[in-house]
This record gives sequence, C-alpha cells and structure tokens, in this order.
Amino acid sequence: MKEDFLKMITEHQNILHKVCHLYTNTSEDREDLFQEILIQLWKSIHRFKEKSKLSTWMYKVALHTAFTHLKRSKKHNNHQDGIKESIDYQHLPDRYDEGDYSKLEKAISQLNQVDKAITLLYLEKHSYQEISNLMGISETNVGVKISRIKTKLKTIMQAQYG
Amino acid sequence: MDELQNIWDAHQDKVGKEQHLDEFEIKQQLKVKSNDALRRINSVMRLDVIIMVIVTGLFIMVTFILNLESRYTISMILFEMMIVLGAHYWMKHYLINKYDLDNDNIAEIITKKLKYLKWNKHIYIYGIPVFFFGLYLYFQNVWAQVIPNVTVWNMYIIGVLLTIFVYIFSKRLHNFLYGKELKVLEDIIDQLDQ
Repeated sequence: MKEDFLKMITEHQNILHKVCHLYTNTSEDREDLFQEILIQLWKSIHRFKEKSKLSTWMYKVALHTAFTHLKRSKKHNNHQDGIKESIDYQHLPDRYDEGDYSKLEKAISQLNQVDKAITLLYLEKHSYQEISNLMGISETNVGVKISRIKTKLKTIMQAQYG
Repeated sequence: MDELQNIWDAHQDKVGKEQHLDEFEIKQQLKVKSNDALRRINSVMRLDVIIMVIVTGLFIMVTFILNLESRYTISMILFEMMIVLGAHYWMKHYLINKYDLDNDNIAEIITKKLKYLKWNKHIYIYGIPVFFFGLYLYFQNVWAQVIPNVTVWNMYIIGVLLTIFVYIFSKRLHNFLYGKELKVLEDIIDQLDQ
C-alpha cells in the first residue's frame, strides 16, 4: 500500500508543488504545506474509491489542506481576507525576482483563497464542470468567477507593470 | 488570459523538473511530518484527556479522604463534568481528523466543519453558563452557609451576576480556542458564495 502511494505521489507531485507555490510565500511554509498535504493524502487514500480522477482528488485534498493551512501560517505572511496589502518579496526565492511568470504569480497571490484555487484549476485546463464538482459551486458561478478573475489579474498586472 | 496561460504552461515544465522528488525523499518527508504536526496535536489531546481523568480521580479521592458530607454529590458532578469534557475532546479529535474528501466537494467539507464549530460554539457559550447556574442553584444551601444572612433575592442576583461572568469567560475562551478557525472557514464560504 505504502509503495503504491509513494509511486502515485512521485508521479503526480507536480500538483502538490503548484498548490504549495500558490498558497505560500516562504520556502519554509512551502515545505511545511507540502508535508501537510502528503499526510492528508496518506490519511485519505484508503477512502479514495476512484469516483473522480486521481488528479482531481489530489487537487481537492491539496486545496482543502492549503485553505486550512493558512490559518496556522497567517502570522508569517500578510494575508488579510485573501488580499495582501503588500507582498513579502524578500522571502521569495531569487528565481522569482524577474520574468513573466513571476509577474503572473505575484498577481495571482493577491487574489483571495478561492479565486486562487479556481485560477490554478483553470490554468491547469480543468473544465468548468470539473471545477464546479471539485469546489462545490455551480458551473455558472465558475464562469462568473473566472470572468472576474481575468479582470482582476489584468487590473493588477497593468497597475504594477504597465 | 491566453497570454497568461502560455506563461503558466511554459513555467510548469521547468518547475516540474527542478522540484522533482524521488520516492525516498517523499518517504522521508512523510516520516518527518508524521512525527510533527498532526501526530503532536493528537498526542497532546490524548495527554489532556489522561490528565483530566487523573485530576478528576484525585478530586473524588480527596472528597472521600476528607469524608465530606456531600462527597457523593460532588463526585457525581465531577464525573459528569469529566464526561462533558471527554465529549468535547472527542469532537475536537473528530474535527481535526475526519472528513470525506472522496465523496464531498470542498464547499461541503468546509460547510460541515463550520456547522460543527458553530454547534460547538453554542455548547460553550450557552451550555457552560446554564450548567454553572444549575450547579449554583443546586448548592444554594452551601452558599447560604458561606454568606450568612443573605436574602434569597440577593443570592439569585449574585448567581445571575456570576453566570454572566461565566458567559463572558466562555465566549472569550471559545474565541481563543476556535475563533481563528471559524473566521478562516467563514471567509472561504463567503468567497465561494460571492
């Protein structure tokens, strides 16, 4: 069982890394969240009955853990109702200082927790229906939220980078 | 958004290769963490329960050693309090460790947790003061001995004031123990509903 689990994580670990990157600011927090998600996956794997795709289930566990993990690491960052007044750039690794991806990541980091999750799922090419099933909101609401997120990201990126 | 999608896609391959952990490294991470956060919380809770049982046992023993007149009543009340606290620990353990991530979506899981926490809040905020006032009334003859010449009405007024104090204390205690978690969950539900 443990060997199968390790194999599964090794193959799909990108999901965990993506969620961790989106929901943390420091490498310490990132490692902590990664380990926390691993534990949650290990604890829940026996209940996974393949009703949904493995990747969808992993996203669900990872996002749920990230949502509740924030409260513990709140004192380490500046999240306030999902919106940060300023980003702690000093704690970001050097490779995020420059580049388009850095700008995108910084813009996404200013969204609230649910919008971050929807953005991640959307960018990972999940359908509206999959996002709806995973998050527990209607497909129409997913559409509305994605439309709002696009506007928000555009506004943030224009304001910060012109 | 298409542009953002391209930026995102281009970066993910790079990150995937940079951060790839092998099975041994994942196994190590799993081992380290399981000796850390969740296991620690669970073991602290178990220790709390053990201490509570020992302390209750000691109190009951003392009432019998001192041969107190009300030893059976006091012991019964202490035992009941232990049951209530035990139920609280059980619920707390349940809250931390149990949720069905296979069948429920994120909104359902968070709604269930929130519902449980709100129910727990009512127990704290209303249950404890009511229980306290009940105890106060039950032992009114003892208070009459402690405060001589007190009128019945004054005794009720003191009881009500003490109950208000217990209510404020329970509210603050609950806020200290679960306030942050409640706020986080309420925020997520709000964000989902927006």
